[in-house]
Amino acid sequence: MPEKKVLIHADGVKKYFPSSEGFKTKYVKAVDNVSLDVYKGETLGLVGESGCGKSTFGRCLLRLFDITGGTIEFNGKDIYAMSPNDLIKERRNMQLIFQDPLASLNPRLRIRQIVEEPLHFHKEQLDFDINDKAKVREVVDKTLRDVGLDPDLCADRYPHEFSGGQQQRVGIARALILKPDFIVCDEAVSALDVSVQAQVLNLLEELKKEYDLTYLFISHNLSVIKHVCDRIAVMYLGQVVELADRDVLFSNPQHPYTKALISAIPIPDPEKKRNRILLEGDIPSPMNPPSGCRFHTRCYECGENCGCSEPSMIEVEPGHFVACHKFDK
Amino acid sequence: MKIRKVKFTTVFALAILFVVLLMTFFPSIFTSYDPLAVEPKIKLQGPSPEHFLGVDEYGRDIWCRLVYGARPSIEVGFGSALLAMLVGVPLGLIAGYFGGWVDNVIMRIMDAFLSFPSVLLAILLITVFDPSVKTLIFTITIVSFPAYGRIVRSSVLSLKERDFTEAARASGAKPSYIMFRTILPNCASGIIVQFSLFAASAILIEASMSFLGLGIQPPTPAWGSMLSYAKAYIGKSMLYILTPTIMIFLTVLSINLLGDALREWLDPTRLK
Amino acid sequence: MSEKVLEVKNLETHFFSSRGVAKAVDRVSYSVSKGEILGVVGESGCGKSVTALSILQLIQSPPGKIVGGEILLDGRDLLKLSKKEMEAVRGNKISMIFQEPMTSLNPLLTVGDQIMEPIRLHRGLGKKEAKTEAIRMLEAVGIPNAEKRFHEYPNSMSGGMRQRVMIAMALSCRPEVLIADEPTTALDVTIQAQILDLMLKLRDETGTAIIMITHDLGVVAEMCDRAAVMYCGSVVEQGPVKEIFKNPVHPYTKGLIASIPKLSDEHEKLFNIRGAVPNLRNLPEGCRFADRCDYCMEKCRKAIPEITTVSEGHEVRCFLNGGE
Repeated sequence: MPEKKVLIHADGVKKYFPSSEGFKTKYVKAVDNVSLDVYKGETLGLVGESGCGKSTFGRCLLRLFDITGGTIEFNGKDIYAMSPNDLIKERRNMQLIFQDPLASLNPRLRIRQIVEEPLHFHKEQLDFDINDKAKVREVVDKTLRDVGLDPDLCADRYPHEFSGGQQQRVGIARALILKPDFIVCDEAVSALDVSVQAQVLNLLEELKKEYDLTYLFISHNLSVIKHVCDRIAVMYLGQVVELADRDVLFSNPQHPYTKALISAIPIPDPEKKRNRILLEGDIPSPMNPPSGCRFHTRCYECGENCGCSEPSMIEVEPGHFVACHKFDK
Repeated sequence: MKIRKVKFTTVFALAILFVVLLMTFFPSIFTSYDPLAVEPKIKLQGPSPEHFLGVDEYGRDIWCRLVYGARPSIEVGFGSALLAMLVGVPLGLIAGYFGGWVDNVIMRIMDAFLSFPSVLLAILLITVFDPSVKTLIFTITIVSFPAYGRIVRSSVLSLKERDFTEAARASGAKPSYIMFRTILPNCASGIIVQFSLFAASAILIEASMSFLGLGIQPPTPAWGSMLSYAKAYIGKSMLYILTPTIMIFLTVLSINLLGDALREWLDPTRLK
Repeated sequence: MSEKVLEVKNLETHFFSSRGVAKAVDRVSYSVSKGEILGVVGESGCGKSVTALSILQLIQSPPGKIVGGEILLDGRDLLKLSKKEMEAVRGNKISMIFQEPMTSLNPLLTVGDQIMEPIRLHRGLGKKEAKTEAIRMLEAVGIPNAEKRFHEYPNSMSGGMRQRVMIAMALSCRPEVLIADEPTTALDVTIQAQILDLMLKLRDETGTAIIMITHDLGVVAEMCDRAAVMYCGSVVEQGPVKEIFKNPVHPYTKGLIASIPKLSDEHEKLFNIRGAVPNLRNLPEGCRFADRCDYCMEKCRKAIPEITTVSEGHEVRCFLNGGE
């Protein structure tokens, strides 16, 4: 196995959102003590159900808001210790692609302006002069072509004139124009139709090779995650419960939640009948998570201790981490 | 470029406003009389070949006074709407964007202004200062800028959470850029529509103040004060009281119609 | 299979606007039998929901209008019924559940009141009996503490619970047909599994025919007996689910199946259908899929293919299966 270089090192990340209820201020523990490494050149999948904190964690990695605890290092530099100016400079290396492509594009700007905008934020660091109109135009046109859009046809139009798939391509072009190292894809294909979703997934795959990218791919759709990711982290109520290489996770899932999640996906093959693990009850509120292991209220393998203490991450085999009391010694 | 269908009401509103603006700046196109020239011999005379709307109680030409009366209305209407916008928009923008204690301080000050009954506040200010166009503009600005600020603040609050604002932030935009280049243009349509509504209501406030004798002072003509004097002669000359009413009505209606047209026209999904 | 409960024949619904006529539903025919689940699958804008709303005559008019076809419930044409007769069908013989349960529940009424309403209206039960029946329904859809939940408001419930309430409401009058419009799209996977499981169980108990509208082929494969694939307002292929997945004939069906990422496949490139769905106001002459089709022939651009039979119960609207 080649030497893996850590691009992002997240350690004990916590993000609590205050939520006032009556006179007391309660906290929604959206992300609670998550530690992860993202290796250069990989696609790390982050999967979980709504409210599990996966999108919040993705935004923590980009410092789109301040975290409550923990540290995040990007390329060896602590991004939460940076001055605002250094952070803005660093932003050219890390980008975000949104779930709702139309909402992520400024309705008052033409496609060319949207894609060009990030260049102006980082004009000192470009290898060309931002006032060189012809050069800027060339760069924008190339990026648009790279995402499969014809600049002559689309650059001077407004976002609402395009279909969802094309809008998402514009969003990808905007993220790519600064040639970042790292892109967070936050449910980037969830709002798209199946046939268009396939187009965008293939595009992301091609761009990864061409631009030498690292992705954090956030999705609730395990089939999509399995298709694009190298490693997968499963989140439940603000915590990572299992982390493993893709093939290991699907062939040998260890956490009861992962097993249930995999078995719950409808498979588009009527010949295949499986035993489905049906979880009881609803996902608890992250405002008031269960004590001990957060999954114990729905777990079908729940033991005596599970409600008392939080399980820690245990490496059950090389590179395969599980947080479950089953593996306590 | 495709020629867009323009609604009849928009054309109507534009035409009326154009005429009223001409009256404001070039009154001599419409009449050769002097609005202050008194001719007591013919007082309250009905329509005649020389004075087609008749004359008032001092024998002044009513049409001429209507034409010259446009000026204070337009000056006060647009002047105070503009001033309120210049004060209210930045305050709302700052309060909405920065939030926290900045927001609290600005909003509480605005609340304090809003808690006065607006007409009473206006009367108070006018009795302290001399009644004039300037005082009226100042007064109406004071009572209406907090509403402006609130509207801008609320649209900033929602725009701040929108994905495209986050996208600008994620790609490294500075706060000033986000505030003025990303958020402000997107609330511009609301601001412009609000401008038209405020201008219309400011014209009404001016008319009411002049009617109460607190606005434009005689002998300067103004629609509101004309109404106030005409009410004494309502039995003798209907035209005297009707014509300023119609002028106020048409002007306010046109501005409101134009506001609606602007709202549609500024909708981003219409951009081509 | 037993006799057809609901049969849609050559249904046409058009939307009229100043920019032209959109043929949202164009000669759609499908049917469901007692106890059967029909999956109607297609991408957004393909007309699958408009067809369902047309069946219940819930199309906003203007701009929408049903311009042709028949909707037969037990052999009776619903399009010929008066408004009043139709009201007796809606929520009683045919009921519907929607994607977002919160928007179809009234936030100001308790869950119990809302379930009792159709029971009292259509079944003519008194208040007391209606309440017992409502609680029985809540229990039947797997809501714990039904008596307590009866007095709660929808906003204090989770998405999965609300969808259960919707199902309880829809089934409370023992309808012959249940139309489920993307019932699990807004839900999480583990909750979706619960709801799908519940629907299958209720179907087995009551024998209600279900029309399941979805964009998820996985749901179709796991839930449905037969499937109809829609594209641009018309059904391009329909047949038994196993047939559709094993032996798809229409290139669109093939493309759709190939473009879903599957849990079983390897890290390879996904098949994708090129281009995008055409505008309904400006449809190509001939087959609607022609521009995106890899097998497009000359005649495909000239005329819309008629429905031909592939095998027993498996029909397709494509020249590849013959026809002129």
